[in-house]
This record gives sequence, structure tokens and C-alpha cells, in this order.
Amino acid sequence: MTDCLGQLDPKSTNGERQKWLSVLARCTLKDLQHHWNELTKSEANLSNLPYRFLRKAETGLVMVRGRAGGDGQQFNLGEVSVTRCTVCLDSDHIGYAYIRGRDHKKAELVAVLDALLQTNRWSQKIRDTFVMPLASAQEKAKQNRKSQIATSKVDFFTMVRGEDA
Amino acid sequence: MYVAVKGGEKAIKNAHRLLAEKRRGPKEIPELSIAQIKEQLSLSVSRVMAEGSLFDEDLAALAIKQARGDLIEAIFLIRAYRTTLPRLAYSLPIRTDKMAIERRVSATYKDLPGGQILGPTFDYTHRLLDFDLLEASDAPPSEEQAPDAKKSQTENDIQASETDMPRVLGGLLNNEGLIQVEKLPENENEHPVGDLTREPLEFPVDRDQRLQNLARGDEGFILSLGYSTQRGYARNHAFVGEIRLGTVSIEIQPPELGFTIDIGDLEITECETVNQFQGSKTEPPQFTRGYGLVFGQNERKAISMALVDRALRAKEMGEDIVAPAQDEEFVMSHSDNIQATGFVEHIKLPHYVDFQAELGLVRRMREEQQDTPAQQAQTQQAAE
Repeated sequence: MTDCLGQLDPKSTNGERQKWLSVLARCTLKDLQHHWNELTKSEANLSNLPYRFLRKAETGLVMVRGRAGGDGQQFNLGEVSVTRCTVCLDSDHIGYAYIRGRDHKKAELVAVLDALLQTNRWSQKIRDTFVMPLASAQEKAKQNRKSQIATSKVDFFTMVRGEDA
Repeated sequence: MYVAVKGGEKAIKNAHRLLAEKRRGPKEIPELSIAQIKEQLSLSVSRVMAEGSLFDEDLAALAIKQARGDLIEAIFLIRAYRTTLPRLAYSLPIRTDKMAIERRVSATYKDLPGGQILGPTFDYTHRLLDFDLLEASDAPPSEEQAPDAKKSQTENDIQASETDMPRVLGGLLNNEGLIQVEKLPENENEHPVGDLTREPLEFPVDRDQRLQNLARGDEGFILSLGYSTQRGYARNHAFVGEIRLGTVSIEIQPPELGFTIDIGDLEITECETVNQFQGSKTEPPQFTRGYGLVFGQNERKAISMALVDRALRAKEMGEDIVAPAQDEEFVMSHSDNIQATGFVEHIKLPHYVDFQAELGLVRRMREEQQDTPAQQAQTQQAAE
């Protein structure tokens, strides 16, 4: 899988999970629903997947912190809207979602996917149909943007002026 | 003193209806969509998010639409909305050194690792009105302007590999010890981070509270104060060491999970200034620094914030406090445009009882003055 995280340690025990949560958090609801619909076409028992809410989707705030000079004393920069949701499958696998924004449907779907990704039955399937294609799409978009931005890379040169020549 | 008034419900209702009509404008003109505001007035959205102190583009765009483009009114709406939401967590400090760069320039080094990337900037435009924009056009902005995006794969790979962009101040200048190191408090985890949204402002304050105040402070106010430092009201001649614009990940550690997760991206502008050097008998001369960090794309605010941050560090640097920009009580008490507009604008609301009292006082004083001309001087003194 393409590494589109960079910051979290993929070697840690929760590395895989951190990676998929990060990828899912960055998807649009439309993308998630599209992949979900494709998946449920072939896997009928997913379309009526039973699960219960441990925490219904709710929107709140996360206070974002920065550091003076980028690496100094911490300070509170401002808040960001965040939605969280927790679901539990019949198999007792618990799925969590914390996503930026206020999309309750997306948070619920991400939580369900997080739970499914922890099951032996669905893990590989969800990775193949969701996480990998979405991760590579995100990575591709990032690289494309980087290439576009790189076109404005500039080489300034200084000129000697007048009598100093 | 403001004394509450009653009545006028019908007039108020009608006034709000008129406001709604005015906001919508003529029906034959299509209504603005939130997506249009978000994508095409994105710098307004950035400002509302920064000063509303809430990063949410959709809400900021909605507020701008509702406020008829009055950005301070929009900021007010955002501030009011945020009070209705619970705080779920504090993020880990964002890593601006890991930013996905949209723009990165330095005014102090011409050649620097990672290069200078102009990105989407107004700099070097001629500030001539573009009359082509008078007409809406469905055509994408001239494709020929971005030929390099289709450069050979190798070239793109080379560019992509040049992702390492060390911090100019912390990285380059610090190697020689020429610049102050940002100090970390001892036992950082036990050191509470000041939060102006939770604790009332009490002076003196620490730099964390000052930076929070400046980050959400009024752009115009911070700009003018920054300008005042350049004009000599607090000497600390500044260079822009680095400006970065781009996105960073927001990471939190929910207690129920016990590990760090990444919840999405945040657009941010960062500015670091290199300021006048100082030294003492014990320390060799070195440059000092100021820091600006703002939600969204807002370079003007980030630069101004860095200038004012540096000026406010006067006490820490052992400088005389001689100018408004160095006075933390003055700066922090007046930087918030919602507080300012609330107090300034409230004087237009009914003050009938208050004014009646003043009116009575002036009448009585005039009567007294006519009665005893000898008391004139005394009465005037009392009035003052």
C-alpha cells in the first residue's frame, strides 16, 4: 500500500489501523458510498450488516495546537470541527471514527469500516476494495498537486547595481 | 449604561425580513452557493476561519453568505456557533515541517534546500483590473499557463524527490548558532497550555496566550500594529525568514483508542521572521525571532502576527517597553474584533434612560450656574 501518511509510525503495532483510519478520514462521503455500494453488490450479507452504536455520530471541536517557531512552546491555535462515532459489530469488534468536518453519515461509515477491517472475515476484502484504491488515489492527487506547484519554483538571482559594478 | 427596552417586535420582524430580502438581492440574479463562496472567495473563507477561530470551510462560507459578505459579522456567527459544540480533544502540536507545501518563500536566503516555490500568490501581479473577469466564463483558466505540469515523468520525479524543505530559521541559521533557539518549558507534559477560550485574560501573560490571541485577532489591527513596529514604534527590524502555505495533518490521541490517529488535513500559513540581533555581556550577538501561524491562506496576517509576536517579547529580551505593539495588555485587550465591534456598535442601541439621566444632569447644572454665577468655576470642575 502506498504510504500517504508520513508522520505516523507504520511499524507500531497499530500502524496498519492508523493508516487506514487516516485514508478513510480523508475520503469524501461520495467516494466511500460509491465503494460501499460496489462492495455490497457482490457481498449481499454486508448490505444488512447488523451493528449497534456505542456512540452515535456527534460533532464537536478539537483544539488545534501549534508550536512557537514550529518547534518551541505549545499554544492553542484555534478549533476545528470534528465528528466521531463508535459502532460495535455482532462479533464484538469495535469500530471508531474521528473525522474532520460535520458529516455524520461519513463518520458512521468509517466506524463500520474500521470494525470490519479488524475482522478476519472482511479485513482483506475491505483493504482491497476500499483502503488500497482510495490510498493510491489520494497519493496520486498529492503527487499531481506537487507537480503543479513545482511549476512555480523560482530561481531568483541578484543583480549588481550601478556604481557597485 | 444600557437599560433593556421592550416592544417593537413587529418592526424588528419586518426589519429582519428586509434584511433577508437585501441579502438575497434581485430574484433574477442566481443565488450564491456555499460551494461557490468556498471555492471562489476562499481568502474570505480563510479570514473568517482564522478570526472565528474555527476551521470549517463550509461553515465559514455559510456565515459569509448569511452576513452578506460582512466578514466581521460572519466571524461573529462562527464564534457564536462554536460555543454550542463540545470540545472533544486537543490535537498534538501540528508539524509544519511536514507540511504538504503549496507555497514556500524566504526573503533571507536566495538558494535554499527545497527551493523557493511561489504557489498561488498575488505577488508579482501588476494589480491591473482584469476586465475579462467581468464576463463569467466556463472555460478553465488558460491551460497553456501550466505546461510544466505535463513535463516528462523524470522531471516530475526529480521535483517530487526534492521534498525535503528544512525550516530556514530552525534549520539553516541555527546550524551556526546565529539565531535564538525556541525554548521548551521543562516537563512539557505537565506544563498547561494557556487557553483564552477557557480562562479569563489576566496580565501578565505568557507567549502561548499571546500567540493564541494574535492568531484569532483582527487582521487589520494586527497589520497596523505590525506596520507600526516597522515605522519605528518598537525597533526590531525584521526579515521574513520563511513563509509556508500548505496542509498539515491533524492528529489526536483519543483515550479510548490509546494511540495517535490522523483525522484529516488543515490548511495553514506560517511565517517566521528574523529580527534585529541582540547580545549581552555573557551572550554573543544573535538574531531574535517572531512567529506567525494562521488558519487558511493568509500571509498578510501571518507576517503581521510574527512582527507583533516579536514586539511583545520585549520584556523577555530585556527591551524597554515604549510602543503600543510591545504592550501586551494594550494589544491583547484590543485585538479581538468581536469584542471590539460589540462594544463600539452597542452604542447605537437604545440608551434612552441613560441619556435622560445625563440630560437631567446638564439641565440642573445649567440652572445652578444661572442661579449663582460665582459657582461657575466649581460647577465646571464637577462636570469634568
